[in-house]
Amino acid sequence: MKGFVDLFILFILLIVLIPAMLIAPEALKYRVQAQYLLNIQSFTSTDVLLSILSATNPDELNSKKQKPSLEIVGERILISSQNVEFLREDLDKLVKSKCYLFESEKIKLADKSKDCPELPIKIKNIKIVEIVVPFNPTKLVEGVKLVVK
Amino acid sequence: MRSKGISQMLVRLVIFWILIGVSFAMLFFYWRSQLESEHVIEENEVLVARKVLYAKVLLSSDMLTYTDENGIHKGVIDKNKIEGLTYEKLFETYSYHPDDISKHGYSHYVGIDVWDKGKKKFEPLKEFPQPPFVSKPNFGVGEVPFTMSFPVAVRYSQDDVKLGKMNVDIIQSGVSRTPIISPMQ
Repeated sequence: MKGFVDLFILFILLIVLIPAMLIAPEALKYRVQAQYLLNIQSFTSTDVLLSILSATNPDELNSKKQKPSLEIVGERILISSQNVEFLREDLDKLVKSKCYLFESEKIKLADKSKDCPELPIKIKNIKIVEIVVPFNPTKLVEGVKLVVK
Repeated sequence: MRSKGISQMLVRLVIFWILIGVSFAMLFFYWRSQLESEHVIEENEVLVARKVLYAKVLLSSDMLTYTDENGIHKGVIDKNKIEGLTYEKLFETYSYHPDDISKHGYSHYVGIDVWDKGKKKFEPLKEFPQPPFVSKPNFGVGEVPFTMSFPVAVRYSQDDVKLGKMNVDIIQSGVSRTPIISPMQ
């Protein structure tokens, strides 16, 4: 009977310790990945925004002339057009998670994936980049931001 | 009858000691894996933070980025500038020196990739591997690659600015890098 008790304790020990040993590296991976995401996603959203606004794209409203996206977005804001789909391809290239929200007061471009998480209520570390909106009667600059989820 | 009692006692004693031994061995391995984990996390945090800081410096450096009368265009890499740039000049100006963590110093790697519209993928434009940087290993911890990528715009001319990536890696010189947890999926 006592031998049975010893074996039972050994069995319990194995049941507790083996999963703990198997889970330990997973916990490590989770922590390292969380750290990486925190560093990359929170620090690079402004860099993604700057890169996208600096890159040139054909302006469909102006005989497909190559222009910096910054100017094209400024024009779209000026004429209150929501047509900034050309940015989607660029965003998909640079935002690894494919989960993002590009918006200004008048423009909103969100990811299409259903797997993307909802935005948190309080968003930290998001910087607004101000772009020039020439000839705008109300204000000459407009803030645009990119939230990487 | 007496010998049967002794043999039963011996069996119990053996089981008892096996139990103790197995428990200690498992606790020892668990403790060792925890120590390794803590070490990996600390090293990763330091190196990831350094790579981010290093990349931030490069993204605002006039050695790589486009400049005009308005100043430095952060994150806009000037193709003409990087074509004439050598790794000696780059790392002579921007590099981590030996410190408490790495007595032998660090080896740096910087690579610029540019988006190729025809091939629909990023193509390497220029690489700056600092000797004795061996190669770009394609594994890391879980989904975290060793080489970190940062978004950039690459300026060919005023009317041609393409999207790109700046890949940055820093390794401790004299320390072999091994996949500690598992290869990248």
